[in-house]
Parts: sequence; C-alpha cells; structure tokens
Amino acid sequence: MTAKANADEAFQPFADAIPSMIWTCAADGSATFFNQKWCELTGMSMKDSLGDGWAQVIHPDDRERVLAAWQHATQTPRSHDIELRYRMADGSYRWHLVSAIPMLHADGTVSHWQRICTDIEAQRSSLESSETLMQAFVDSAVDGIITIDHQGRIESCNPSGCVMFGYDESEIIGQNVSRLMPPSFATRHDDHLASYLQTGEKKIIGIGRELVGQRKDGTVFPMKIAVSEVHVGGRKRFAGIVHDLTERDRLQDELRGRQRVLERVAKGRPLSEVLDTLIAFAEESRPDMIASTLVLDKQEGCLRHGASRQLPDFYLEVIDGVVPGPKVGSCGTAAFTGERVVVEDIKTDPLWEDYRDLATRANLRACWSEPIIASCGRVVGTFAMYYTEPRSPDAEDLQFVESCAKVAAIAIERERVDSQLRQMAAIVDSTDDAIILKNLKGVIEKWNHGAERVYGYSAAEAVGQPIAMLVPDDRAYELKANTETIRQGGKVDHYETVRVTKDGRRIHISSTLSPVRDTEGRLTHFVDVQNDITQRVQVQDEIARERAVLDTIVSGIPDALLMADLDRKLTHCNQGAYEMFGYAPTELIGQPKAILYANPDQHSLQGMQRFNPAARQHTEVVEIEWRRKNGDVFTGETVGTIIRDRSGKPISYLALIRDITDRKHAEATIRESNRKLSLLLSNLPGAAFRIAGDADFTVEFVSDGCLELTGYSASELTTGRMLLLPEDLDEVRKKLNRSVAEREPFDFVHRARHRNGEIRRIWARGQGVFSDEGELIAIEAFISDFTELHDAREQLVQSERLAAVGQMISAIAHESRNALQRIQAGTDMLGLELDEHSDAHNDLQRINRAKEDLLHLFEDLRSYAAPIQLDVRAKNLAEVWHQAWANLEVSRTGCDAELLENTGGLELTCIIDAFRIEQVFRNLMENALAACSSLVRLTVSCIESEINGAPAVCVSICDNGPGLTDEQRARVFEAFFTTKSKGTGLGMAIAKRIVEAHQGTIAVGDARDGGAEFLITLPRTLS
Amino acid sequence: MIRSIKIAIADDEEDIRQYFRRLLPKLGYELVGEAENGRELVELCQTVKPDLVITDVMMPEMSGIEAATEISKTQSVPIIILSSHEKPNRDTNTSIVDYLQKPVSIPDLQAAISRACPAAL
Repeated sequence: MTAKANADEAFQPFADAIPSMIWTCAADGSATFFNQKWCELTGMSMKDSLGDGWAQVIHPDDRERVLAAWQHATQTPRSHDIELRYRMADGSYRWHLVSAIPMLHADGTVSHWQRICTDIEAQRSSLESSETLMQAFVDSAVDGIITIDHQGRIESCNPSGCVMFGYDESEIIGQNVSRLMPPSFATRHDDHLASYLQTGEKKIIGIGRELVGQRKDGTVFPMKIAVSEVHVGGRKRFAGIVHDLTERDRLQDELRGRQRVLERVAKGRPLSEVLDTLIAFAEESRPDMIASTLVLDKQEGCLRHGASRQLPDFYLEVIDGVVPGPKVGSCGTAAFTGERVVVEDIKTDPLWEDYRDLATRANLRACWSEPIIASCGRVVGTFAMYYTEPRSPDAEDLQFVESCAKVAAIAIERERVDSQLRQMAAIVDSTDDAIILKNLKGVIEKWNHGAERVYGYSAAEAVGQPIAMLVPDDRAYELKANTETIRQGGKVDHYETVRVTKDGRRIHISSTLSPVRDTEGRLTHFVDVQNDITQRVQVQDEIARERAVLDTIVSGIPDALLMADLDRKLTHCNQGAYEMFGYAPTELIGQPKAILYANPDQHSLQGMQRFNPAARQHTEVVEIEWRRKNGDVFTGETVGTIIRDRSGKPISYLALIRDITDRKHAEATIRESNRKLSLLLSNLPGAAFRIAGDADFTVEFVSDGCLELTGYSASELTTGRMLLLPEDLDEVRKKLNRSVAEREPFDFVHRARHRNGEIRRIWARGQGVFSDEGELIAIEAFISDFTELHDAREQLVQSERLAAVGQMISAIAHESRNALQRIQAGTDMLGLELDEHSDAHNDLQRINRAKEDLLHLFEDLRSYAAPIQLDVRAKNLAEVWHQAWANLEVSRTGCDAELLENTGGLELTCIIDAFRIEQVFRNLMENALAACSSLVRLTVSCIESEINGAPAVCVSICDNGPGLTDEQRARVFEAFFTTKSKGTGLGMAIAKRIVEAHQGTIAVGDARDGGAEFLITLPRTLS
Repeated sequence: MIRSIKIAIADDEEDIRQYFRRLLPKLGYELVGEAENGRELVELCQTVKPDLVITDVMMPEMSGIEAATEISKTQSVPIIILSSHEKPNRDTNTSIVDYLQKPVSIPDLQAAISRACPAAL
C-alpha cells in the first residue's frame, strides 16, 4: 500500500458522504479512486472505472475534446473546469461541470487530481431551449429583425425582414444596411452611425423612429424602426426591428375617412350627405372601384337610391324602387337574404340575369354587395362595390366592404333615430300634458309646450330652476317621497296632487313619474308627465258634494227608498227602508221585492203597470199594503219609476214608500178634532173670525155665533168695518196695527153696532197670523158680547173710585175733628166769658150750630165712605128701632108722629151691629118725618124671609107720605141724591151700605096706600 | 175745699194745651203739667204724680196710647183719651178709663173727669 493508497483509503468515507460524484486520478491522469456516488450514478464499478476506464462514460461527442483539454490542463498545476456529458446508469447522458483540483507535493509538483462532478443538466437544457426559442421568435416575427455590425454591414436578417424588403437572405447578408433605404436616407444613415460611434449621441437607439424603407424593386414604404446596441467581443453591434407601416397608414386613411363620415353623422347632417361622403371616401381609398348604397324604404318595402357618384342615372333609375328578392342582382339579393353577395362576374352570374343588360350598358362587371344591418338585426340597406372588370375580393376587400356597410348602418340608424326623435319631439310638443324632465337634484332640464301652457312659465324661465318652485309648501314632502318610490322600483302612476302656477294659482294635476336610466342602468333623470285635472277635480268635487248632499237626503228621509234590478230583486235600500220594514241590510239586498208586499196582487199589478219597461210611464202615487218583517201590515204611499241609462235602456227600478199609518191616524184625529171644533164654535157665546189685514177688515171666515152677536149671518158679514162705529174705526185700527207690529196678541173692547141699531160692547181677543217670511196673512180673533160685563166692570171701577174718595173723605172728616175741637175750645171759653143773653152770646150759639152741622156732615160722609167695621152681637131688631125712634125725639118735637108695629110675634133676634142698624132705622125714620107734613105714621112690620137660602127677617118700614116718584125709586140709594132742602143726601146710601155690610138687602117696596115703603132684609146670622 | 184734682195733659197742639190751661182752673181742677208728646207725658207722670191724665193720641215721638201703656206699668193713674178717632174696639191692658172723641164739649169733659175721679168730689 502506497502513501497515495493510504490517503485514498482515509479520504474514502468523506468522499462517500458527498452527494456529488468525486474521483481521483494521478498526475498522469490515470484514475485511482471513485466515490460511491460515481458507482451509483454511472452504474460503473470502481474497478472498471480505474485507470482510463472512466472515459467510457463520457459522451462520444465530448470525449475527444475533454481528453485533449485535460491533457493540456494537467501540464500546469492549476484548477480548471470543463463541462461534459456522462452516461448515466440508465443509459442517458447528463451534463456535468467537472472541477479538477490539483493536490500538490511539498515541492509544488502535482501529487494527484481531485475531480468533483456537479450535475448541470438542468441549466444546460434551459439555456439550449431559450436559444432555440429566441431563434424561433426571430424567424417567425412579423417584423423584420436585422443585425448590423459597427460598420453598418448586415449580419443577419430574419425571414420577415427579407420579405419586407424583397431580398433573399443570402442577397442581403454582408450588404450595407443603407441599401434598404431610399438614397436620401441612406447617406444620412452612414453619418448617423459614424456620429454615434464617435459621440455616443443617440438618434435612434432605444428611441425608435418612423423612417422610409426601400424595397429591392425600388418602391418605398413607411416603416418604424427600433434599434438596440449589443456589445459582442468588444465590438458594438446593432439589432434593428423594422415594422412595416403601410397597412397602418392605410387603416389610418380608412379611419380618417370613416371619421369624416361619422362626423357628419354626429353633426346630424342629412343622410344623403352622409352617404355621399361615405361613397367619396370609399372611392378615394379604392380608386378603381365604384361605390353605391341603397336604403330600404320600410313603408314601401323596396330599395331606394342612397348615394352614388359614378353610377349613371339610367342605372340608378332602374335600381331605385327595386324590391329585394332571392335573385335581384347583388344588392336586391343581399337585402333579401341579409348575407353578403359577391358577384365576381356579372356577365355570368345567375343573380344578375334580369339586370345583366343594364349592367353591361353601365359597363359594370363585378359587384360585391354587403347588407347594411342595423343594431336591431334588420336589413336597412346595402353597400356595394362595383368594378368594371371581373374581380374577386381578397380578405381586405371584404373587410372594407363590411366596414363601409357598418358606417352606413350607423348613418341610416342615426337617421331613423333622429326621425323617431323628431316624431317624439313633435308628440311632446303637441301634447297638452306637461312633460318635465328633471335631474336627480330636482332641477328642471326639459320643459315642453304643454308645461308652458299648464304652468305659465316659458321653457327659458323653467329650465335650470328647481322643480320645487311648482310645489306648494304643504305638498313639499311629496317630491322626495315620489322620487324615493321610483328609486326603490315602485311606481308613481297618475298620482293626483296640487301644484302652483306662475301666477300663484293652485291647480290639480295627475302626475306620472318615470325614471330615465343610462345604458348601464343608472338612474339619471325623472320624466314627470302631468295632466292638468283642475277642471276634472272641480267637477269631481262638485259631484262629490252633490253626492254627499244626495246621500244625506237619501239617508235622512224617513221614506223608504228601494232600488231593484230588472228582476225586481233589491239592490239598494236606504236607512229609512231598513227602519220602515225592520230588516237588516243583509236580509234585504238580493231578495225579491215581493217579500215586502202584503198583497201579492198588488205586487203583480205594480210589475205590470209600473215596473215594466214596456208599459207607459206610470208616475201616480198609489197606496200599497206593505208588510214589515214582524208581519205588521201598513199602508205606504208609493211612487216608483224605471231608471234608464243615457241611451234609454232600463237599468233598474226605484220605489219611494212613505209610511202613512201615522198620517192616516192623524187625519182621522184631525177629522174628529175638526168636528169637535165646529161643534164647539157653533155653541160658543161669541164668534170666531178671521179677517184680512186690510183697511176694511175683510172677513175671510166667521163662525155662526156672529148672527146672535151682530144680527148678521156669516155670509152677510163681509167686513168688520160694517160693525164698527165710524168714530171708533181709527182706534180699533191702531190697536190691531200695534198688535201686528209687535207680534203680540190683542185684547180690547170696542163698540159695535148690532143690526138692530143697538150699540154693543164687543170683547175682541186674537192675534195676527204670519207666514214664515213674516208677512201678515190674516188676523184671527174671538169676539164675544161684553155689554153686560162692561157695565159690571164700569160699576166696579166706579166703586173703586168711590172707595178712594171715601178714604179721602174719611181722612178729611178725621182731621177736621181737631179743627172742630179748637173751635169748640174757643167757643167754650168765649161762652164762659160772655153774658148769656148778650147778642155776642147768640152769635156764639150760631157758630156752635154751624160747627155741629159741619160735624154731622163729616160724620155722614165718613159713615158712607169709610170702610165699615161691624161690632156684631145678637140683638132684637125691635129694640134697635125703638132706640132709633127714641133718639129722634128731638126731631119729632112739634110733630104728631106715631110708630105702629106689626111684628106678628116673630122672633126678631139677629146677629147685628146694633149701633149701625139703629142708624139705618134712624135715617129711614128721619126721611119719613121730613117727608110727611102733619101727622106722621110709621108702620114697621116684619115677616120671616130668607137670603140666598139662609133664614132672614124682612122688616118693612112704611110711611104715610106722598110716596116716591119713579126717579126717586130708581135713585133713592144713590149718594148725594136728595129731595130735602137740608141733608147730605147720604142717608139712604149709608143705610144701603150698612145693610149690605150685614149681607142683607134694602129695597123700595110698593106700599098699598101710596106711602114710601122700604124693605130691609137681614139674615139672622152672618156667614 | 178738698184737695183739687191734679190733672196732667198731653197734646201736640198749643191751642189745645192753652184751652186746658185756661179751662181746668175755671172748672176747679189743678193743671199740674203739660206734655207735647207721649215721651214727655211718661216723664211728667213720674215727676208730678197726677191724679188724672188727659192725652191726645196722635202725637210725635210716642202716641198717647203707647204713653198710657207705659204709664200704666208704674202707676194706676186714670187716663182719659181725647182723640179725633172713634174709640177702638180692642181693649188694652191699661188704666185708660175713657175715650172722648173730638170735639168735646165742656159738659162732656166735666162728666168724664167726674167719672174718672169720683172720690175727689
């Protein structure tokens, strides 16, 4: 074992641990060691590999190079690398980088080489493929790719470059690149290149320029060239990519032409002008071509001449109006099928059979026609390219004809849209509806004539203004609500509301709000179409009001309203009907009317006469027996009619029923009441009458009582005036007028002349009768005979007056006593002073007598007038008249008088005020004494009597004087009536008062012997 | 002579009072006091203690009847009423002994005084 072998042995474990192949060879190159990886990957055992065995696994293509390289490299002890392919165990070759590292002896000579092999197969194959790819790119590039050296010589040119310039590759390699340019550019190119190489100032490198290229045949073309600089082997080289701009420029021309056409479209130029521009552009870009367009007339269904510059008129005349069909030249067929029709030779093509001669005359040989198809897919015309020679189109031609047709489509469609817009505008402007376009901010953008009419704002005034100016404050909330509804996909359709016009009027409108969206569906505007419905609303309001009034009337009337269909089944009833018949609404509606009739005969009769469209109109009121739900039958006054529509067709029956049960009852009551009243009137002690409020008091009615009252019968008494005394007329009229004016009843007594001439007193009570308007209609009154009552009343008034006089007299009498007392005092004192027989004493006596007379007068007056207060007790009347007679003894002095009594044993005790009754007797006796001249005989006799059914005593006092005259008899009890020269004339009046105060009577009797007789009857007891 | 009857009078009229002032002494009576109304009469009676009172009815401040009622509460002096009114029907619980209606004559007055004061004769 050598040192070398020992070293290998020690190295082996490390070498085996490394994942790459490692082997060792001696300085002479023979292999001495291989690691385990080598054996594993190459499939060679170490034994087979030793020496120069390893060379077997080197790729045959690499073996010579590798061995030579190593032969050379191992001359110097330096590391070196080499790439080679080893054969792997599976037989494939993989690229490896083999690094050889020399292991040196101490003297610096090589002991052995370590070779480390790294698998670089992945890197090698990637590089190879990118190179291949690059070449493929270059070869297949559409653009020309040309490389030149620093002197401008062409080093390579790809196939596209060769085609572009018209050279074979072999022709051009090594030539100066300036050959590819027109001479003017070529000289400058050399200068550019030299300048760049000297100055580094770039004119084209990395910038790219449009230049002009020259082909081998000398023609030039526009090109764009991009140049990049490459340093290879210390020298600059340039690669240029050349792009042929011929097609681009042509397309640009076409584009410009198309733009020219579209500009006219956009400007809204007439279709004929647009199509003419299209023809002009097409013919400019294809000078040997004749272009033509035909436009489909939708209404006539034929093709019309659209535009053409070169086709002769005679040709156009025939073509214009051609109806598309399956065999109508190129255009007619294309329009019919909707497909492109290419006729390469008109002379032979069957489609042209009918038009061949025409085409020949026009010198046309080829015609390619493209249908013009609108965006909706329908054919709207054709675009055709004619040639004077037979010709077939290439792809570019077809593209051209197609693009022209598309432009024409836009133009025609635009024209159609414009026409639709014009129609739409005409509609918008001619409608009475307001059409308002507002944007999302609520600003008005469009305002049609209708809006001007409705609101009074001109478009100029309205556009740009907020829509809110049309909305009254109380409706402001609507705007947002309505637009919000639209935004959320809802509808605002015939929304009725109120708006305000320019002059401030409130109008009713019906608004339909619609969204306007752009092509992407975004909301951009709202269209508000508004209809002025003010009049309609007013009419509706009016109708509603009338309807409400009618409803109120219908529901309010107590009568029953029944509406029935033509089968006489009830369809509507008012509240009155339900109440009258006692049914609930659900029980009646739909029921036959027959259920309400109490009498089936009446039901069928009504059906024949009234509710029969064939019968004549029957409007009379009839009384029908109806039946309520509870079975009660009642009489109803019934009218009914047929309701007809405007054309007169009957649609339903209507009946109005009035329950007259109460009325019938009331009528009976009134009849009875009238009967009673007339009975009452005929028995009245007066008369009821009714007079007009005129000057004559014309009698309109007077009850039968007038005959007794006035002496005239009811028919004879024509005016109230005939009863009245002329002098009373004004007074009566005044009283009646006051009553009428004050609307107060009158109540007065007036005089009336009876037919027999008697003046009667009539008591009239009554009042005016007025119309609802306050007009006097008549005066109604009741009159009765007031004559007796009047007299009684007069007496009452008289006695009241006397009572007042009496009180006054009584007061005078009383007060005079004080004065009399002073006279008495004076005379008494004088009497004491004076001589009893002197003249002065006589004078004093006369004063005393006068004083006594005055005292008596006052006393009589007081007795007559003052209220009498009786101080009663049981007393025998005889005692009383005895006392009176005794007290008259002084009066009787010198007079022959006797008192005869004839009491017949009658019990004469009565309850009386003896003092007062004595005064009665005294007064009677005084009168008798005064009346009788010589012998006075007074006879007092008594008989039992009665007053008002109560026991009484009648005392007769009779004298023998001359008796009483008739006047005396009538007036003897009147106050101040006297026949005597002396006396107050109150004696008998006082007597009467006293007797009457005792509830008795005093009267003049009829004495048999002619004297005066007074009868005094006094009740025995006072009630 | 036995002590004369002492009489007090009341009347609101000076004429009447003067009449009594002159008449009563002539008739032998002693006028011990005059009053112009019922109030004065009551006071007078308390001071002079008359044997008889003659009084009018209708007087200011207090009537003769009221004064009589008042006097009767403390004294038993007889009282004659001299009035223009008739004698009232009702009786009063007083010492009124007589009613004289004006005008009254001297004999009537003398009789009334004698009836009222018999013991003095």
